[in-house]
Amino acid sequence: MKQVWIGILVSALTASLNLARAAEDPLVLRTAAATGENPTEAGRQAAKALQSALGDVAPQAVLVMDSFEDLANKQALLDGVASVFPRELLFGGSSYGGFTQAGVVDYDGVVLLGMGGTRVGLEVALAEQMGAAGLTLEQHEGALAAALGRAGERLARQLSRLEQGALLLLISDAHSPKNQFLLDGVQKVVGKRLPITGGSVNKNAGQNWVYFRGATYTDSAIALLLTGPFEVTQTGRQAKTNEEVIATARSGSAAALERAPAKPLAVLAFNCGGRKGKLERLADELEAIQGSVGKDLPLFGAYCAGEYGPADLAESQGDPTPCGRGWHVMFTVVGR
Amino acid sequence: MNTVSQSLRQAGLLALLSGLAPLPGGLAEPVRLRVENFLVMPSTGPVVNVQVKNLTTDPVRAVVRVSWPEGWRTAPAEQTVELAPHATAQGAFTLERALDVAANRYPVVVEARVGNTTVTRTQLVVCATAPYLRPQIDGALDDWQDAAPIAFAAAGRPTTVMTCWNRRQFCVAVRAEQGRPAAMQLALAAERGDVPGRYEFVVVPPEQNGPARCYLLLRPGADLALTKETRALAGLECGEVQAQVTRTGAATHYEVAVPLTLVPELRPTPGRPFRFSLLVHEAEGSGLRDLGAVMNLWEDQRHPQSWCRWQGAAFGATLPWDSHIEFGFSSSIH
Repeated sequence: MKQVWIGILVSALTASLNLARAAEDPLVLRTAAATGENPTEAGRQAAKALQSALGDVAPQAVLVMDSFEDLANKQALLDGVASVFPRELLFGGSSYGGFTQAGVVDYDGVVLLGMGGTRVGLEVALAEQMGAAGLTLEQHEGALAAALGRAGERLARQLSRLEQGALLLLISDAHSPKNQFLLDGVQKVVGKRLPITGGSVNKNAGQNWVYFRGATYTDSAIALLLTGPFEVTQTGRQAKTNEEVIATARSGSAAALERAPAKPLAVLAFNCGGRKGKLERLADELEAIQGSVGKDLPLFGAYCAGEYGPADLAESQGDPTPCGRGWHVMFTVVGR
Repeated sequence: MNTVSQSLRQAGLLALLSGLAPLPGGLAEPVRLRVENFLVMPSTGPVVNVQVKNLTTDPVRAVVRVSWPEGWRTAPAEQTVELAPHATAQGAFTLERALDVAANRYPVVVEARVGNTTVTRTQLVVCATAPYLRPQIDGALDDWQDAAPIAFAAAGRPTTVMTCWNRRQFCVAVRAEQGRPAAMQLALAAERGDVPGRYEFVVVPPEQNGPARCYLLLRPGADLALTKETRALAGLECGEVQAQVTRTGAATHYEVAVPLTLVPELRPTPGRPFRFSLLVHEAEGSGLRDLGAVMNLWEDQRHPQSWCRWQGAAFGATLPWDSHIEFGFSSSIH
């Protein structure tokens, strides 16, 4: 019994020290997740867990990626998260599930990423009514490219501190391969050197929702620009079979961490829903990532309908220029 | 000339030329080939497998190349496949840039070089995908606009097959021009299940107005000897399946929703493969139309145990094609 209490005391002290240190970090990223049939309750539970993980750090934004079905349930989920955090801090969109260090979230769940810190800056932007809804690549490729390009430009032009930007998070209702058109527009403004990651929201009929300041939008995209004294390293890995999905998750996360600055703070993994579909056992990919980055770093994973980050194509030769792709896992290690 | 017929004409010429090459061991062809179906829309960049079967009693090395529709970009340019005697193996190609077409038929020419011999096959490959949709099971197929239809004709009678999934159901719709409704039989299986085998259902129209009747003919793990018995449907009723059979002009509409609780191994999610095929039975036992006919299967992919027999169905002298055909779940065709 004595040993148990000592163990609890040591854990509590360690947690307190970690929280105290976190409060001083220039950028603090923490994650939480929950699942359940009641979306409001799942949202509330995940938000409470995130609040606990953040400790004294006040979040500047909470990224919400959920796999509940239908708008009413998504709004209920946002209500649940908004019962803990101010609604205007909530951004994100629909996903096919995700993961944190605690496990994989399949259907009817939510994964949260809280972003705060003493010296982090955040700018947000929304591009509504992109004009892409109902257009198909087969029939309207030119119109799609133009509409999404304009939307990307419109999104990026709302950001005033691009010069100081360290990482741009992009969440869009423009799935692979259309996501490249949106990114082309963004990069017309921000250039091709700014690290960008993020994903396209679930494209199942009626599920394609983007969240901005706690409200739901379709045919839209959002951007979150993080500024501050931190650096990111990125890798993208493509795979289309069970074995390759697991192997690339392991190698991609290991490569991103290997190139990371001295102190990695968190790992973001915007991943493809198609890759998830290839997994015979869902936890295999997460376990492969944990095999590379360990189980201590905060880890945020979301399964999307297209991903932003460095492409893993034969001709890319390790080029870190962000692209819009499908079938990829895009790792971003944030560190300082 | 449209792209399909142009490609097919070119392929015919290639096949003719390859036929002039010397062939080893007295065999007409040392290998045979099949480009598998696309399991998600081509524009989303899937991997496509090419099956190669060694027809010889010696090990062979086949260098496989595929001519894809114009404008597509794929990798790698060729795949080398090592095959033991009589073995079948796959070479995988990634579609890096491809365009979807509404007709859902994509002309490809696949060739394999084995020594000095070149084997060529021309195919129209379909995208065999079940996107996420939530149709009303009412026999009206107007809410299937966003499916990926597979259209074919049997004895000149047009038939269209569509599949979809949602969180609760796996759904199938068939529009078949026929004199009067008869029955629709479908086979469904997970790509890899803990228990081998398939589910097999048959849907028959109501005798009076009302919902169609569905019967469960087979489950995974069942003794395949059952497939040889011509069983009475009485006692095999499966009330959990929603089914409607309606008539619109000269066409019969079959619409079915199988609850996922009944087929838990499927676990639909975009990108996940599954196995499926379908037969439309004609009235008065006058024959079958077989979805397998447009799946580019090899002639020996007809097995007595591929489909269950039941009283009232006429299977004819020719065995139907294998019922275990590759399909895939996807999110959306757009």
